[in-house]
Amino acid sequence: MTESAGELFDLGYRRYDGPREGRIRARKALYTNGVRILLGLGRGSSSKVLPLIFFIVVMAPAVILAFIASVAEDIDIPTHSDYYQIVSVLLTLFAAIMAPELLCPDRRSGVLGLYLVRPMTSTDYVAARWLAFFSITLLLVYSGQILLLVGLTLGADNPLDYLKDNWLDIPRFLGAGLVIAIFATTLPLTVSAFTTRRAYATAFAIGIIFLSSLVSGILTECDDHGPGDSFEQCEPLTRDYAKWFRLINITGVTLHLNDIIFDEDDISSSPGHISELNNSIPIGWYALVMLALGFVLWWRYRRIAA
Amino acid sequence: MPFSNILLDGMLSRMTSLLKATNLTKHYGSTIALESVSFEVEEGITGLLGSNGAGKSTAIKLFLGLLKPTSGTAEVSGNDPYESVESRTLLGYMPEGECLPSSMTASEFLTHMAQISGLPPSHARTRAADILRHVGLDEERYRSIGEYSTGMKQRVKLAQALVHDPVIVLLDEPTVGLDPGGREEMLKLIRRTGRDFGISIILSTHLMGDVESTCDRIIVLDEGRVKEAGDVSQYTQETQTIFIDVDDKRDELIAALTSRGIEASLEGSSIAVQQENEDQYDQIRDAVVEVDAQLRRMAPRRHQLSDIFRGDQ
Amino acid sequence: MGSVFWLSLRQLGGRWRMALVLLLAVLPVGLSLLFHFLGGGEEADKRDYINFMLEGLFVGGIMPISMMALSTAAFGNEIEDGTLVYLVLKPISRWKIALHKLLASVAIGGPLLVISGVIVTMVGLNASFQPALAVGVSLFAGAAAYAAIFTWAGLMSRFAIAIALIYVFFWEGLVSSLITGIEYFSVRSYTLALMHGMDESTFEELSERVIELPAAIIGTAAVILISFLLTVRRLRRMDAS
Repeated sequence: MTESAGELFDLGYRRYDGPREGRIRARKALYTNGVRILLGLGRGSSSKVLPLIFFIVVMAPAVILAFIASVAEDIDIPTHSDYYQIVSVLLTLFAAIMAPELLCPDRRSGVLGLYLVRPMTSTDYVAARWLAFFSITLLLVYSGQILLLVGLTLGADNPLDYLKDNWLDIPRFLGAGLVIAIFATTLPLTVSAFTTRRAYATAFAIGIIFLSSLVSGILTECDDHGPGDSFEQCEPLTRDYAKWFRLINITGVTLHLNDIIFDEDDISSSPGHISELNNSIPIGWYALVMLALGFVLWWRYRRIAA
Repeated sequence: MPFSNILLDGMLSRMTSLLKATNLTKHYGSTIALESVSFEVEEGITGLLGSNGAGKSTAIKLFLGLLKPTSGTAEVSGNDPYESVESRTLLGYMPEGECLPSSMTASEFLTHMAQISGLPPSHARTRAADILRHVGLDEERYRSIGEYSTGMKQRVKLAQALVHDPVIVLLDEPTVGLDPGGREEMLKLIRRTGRDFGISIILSTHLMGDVESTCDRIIVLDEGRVKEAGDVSQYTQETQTIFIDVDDKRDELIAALTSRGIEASLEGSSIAVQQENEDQYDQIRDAVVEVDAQLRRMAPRRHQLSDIFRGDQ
Repeated sequence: MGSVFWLSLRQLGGRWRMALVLLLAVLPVGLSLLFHFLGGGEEADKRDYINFMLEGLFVGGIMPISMMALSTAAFGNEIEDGTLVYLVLKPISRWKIALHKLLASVAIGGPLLVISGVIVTMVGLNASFQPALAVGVSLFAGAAAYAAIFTWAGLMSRFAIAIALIYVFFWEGLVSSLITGIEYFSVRSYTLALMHGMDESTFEELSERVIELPAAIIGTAAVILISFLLTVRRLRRMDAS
């Protein structure tokens, strides 16, 4: 008995002759690993707290909106577009906190150096990490929207009619979800590529989002409670160029794209609003910024790999 | 048939050089890291010896495909690693610095790295368990790496380089930072990897002792050039020198030795004879008797690898 | 000053990081110049200036964000690298370690915020001394209070920055604007109250929103002291591990 166990134990080194799936397996493994990090799987229970909180917090507005819609009869029922407006802040926060988890520790610990000598390029690495984060973000926003859709449908007097009248909301929230998820993924990941400390990456990402909206706000906001100034007459700091300065606020641009997709009229038609620009400009600008950020991320990791 | 297996078959059938540098040159701006270096690495354990800045790390990075050569080629069994990412499937690499995540267990980490090397998950788990046993981390594999000692971390680093069963592994200063005991253990493990596991090894080091005790062959780099290359034994056993100290009649003795067809020369106050065979001892004895010299001492001295560098000083 | 202080100062002041903190400090100055030349300096602009630049940009944004980056990293970096053990093993009393860590992040963040804030005030509010002093002192006090809280948070949790963000943007930003009593437990409102208390005429704009000056002074001191004591307590308990 013991002898056979001993024999088993003393089996010499065995060469591996199983399948080798190369680069494709490497990408898959890195993607899965990224998803597991974000969900806190395979780690201590404390790592699962934060993703869970975010999930609850992102679902909550959907539940509340659906509830309001079913109870209140007279007011405008909250829409899928409103949901993104509410959730975008939470999502940005989630992204700024969690995105650095995917990139910073790998560089800090040096594991990245081990990845890059395996059948995997820096482009594979960045793409796998980006996709992992994108998937989770998308899952988060879509879950909320689907919950809201279910809530609104069931809360309507005639669910079938509701779906017939509002079916267009489904492709719209799917599309707008992509726009928001791309933004929430790309910006914080790019910031994370420049520091190995998670805390700094988070603070920088929040700082950029906060400052860009504040700076744009200062330059374009106009004083609507000044003595004698009526709302329409007031003039923003940057006068006629205000609508252009709105583009500095990248979060605002993303949310404006949401409005465009949902074909919403802007409630605040104060002077110098971004909606004064032709739709192609914020859309093009958004695409340009995302591509530029993505390029910087890619380029940064190519430099690191060398 | 997966690509890598074709590669493996091709490699085994040829049995030729695993790594080949041909006029390999790498410049960083105006700094020259490697200048027209050519060598071949065959199966077995090859030492890559040189001081800091000799170009060892650059050479390794070129073979790993992390750098593009300025000119010349670095080939891994006939493939350009910079162009063909898949060819890295059969390479293993153990870097010098820190490279381990502290929050993962060794078991998780190795399974993950095996998958990154292209192994499917179930196979990856088996391989991770196997290789951890081979490097002597059986009991501890479910503890997180952050709690490991330096020696244990070094074993995990070696294990991750071996987990996908590469044909050749490149070890960058694997004994740095280890105490004498840990260093001996590590070298033993490396020898076992090279001899028993049949995985070829490039051992990059600045320590001559590591090379002497572990390697079959050696490539000495100095300031970006190959200074020496050959079998380690060539520098140790085979080129034994016999030193003869006599009180007088040195010149006569040298003449007597030369007339017997033995190459002898004066080195300091001793006469040095390159030993070629065992009969030489008899011939030397006869020569000493012939010239009637007072023999003080006659002793063979093994060459050491450090002799390679002696010429510089 | 002890070696822990200098070491921490060096750890926190990397090249890139300093460049970013500098940028954060220079940005408002640039904005204030823009304001000055485009706005024209009327009463309404002065109000905008206080609302946006000082309250929004400095007190509500740059100050907490830069302090959270610096202070959560004070111990956070050591924990991430696993070097906290060595620090705790040093023959230095725990309160000194805590104090040096705190002082290091205040020494980096404080002066930059104060200088930038003072310049912005001088440019925007017509080069008067009293408001500049009020802004300088209150920003420094606020920075110190944030530093104390976040240093403690950095010692307590791997996700200190998440906690800090939630505290700043939800507690101080959102909750305290909905529930008035919360203002007594908010570094942001202490800072604004200090600013208002030291120059009531200039910062009249804030008068409806701020708490009483004594409450703000006591609050700031209490936050610093309590956070500091909590940090020391946590460090003392590290013997076990």
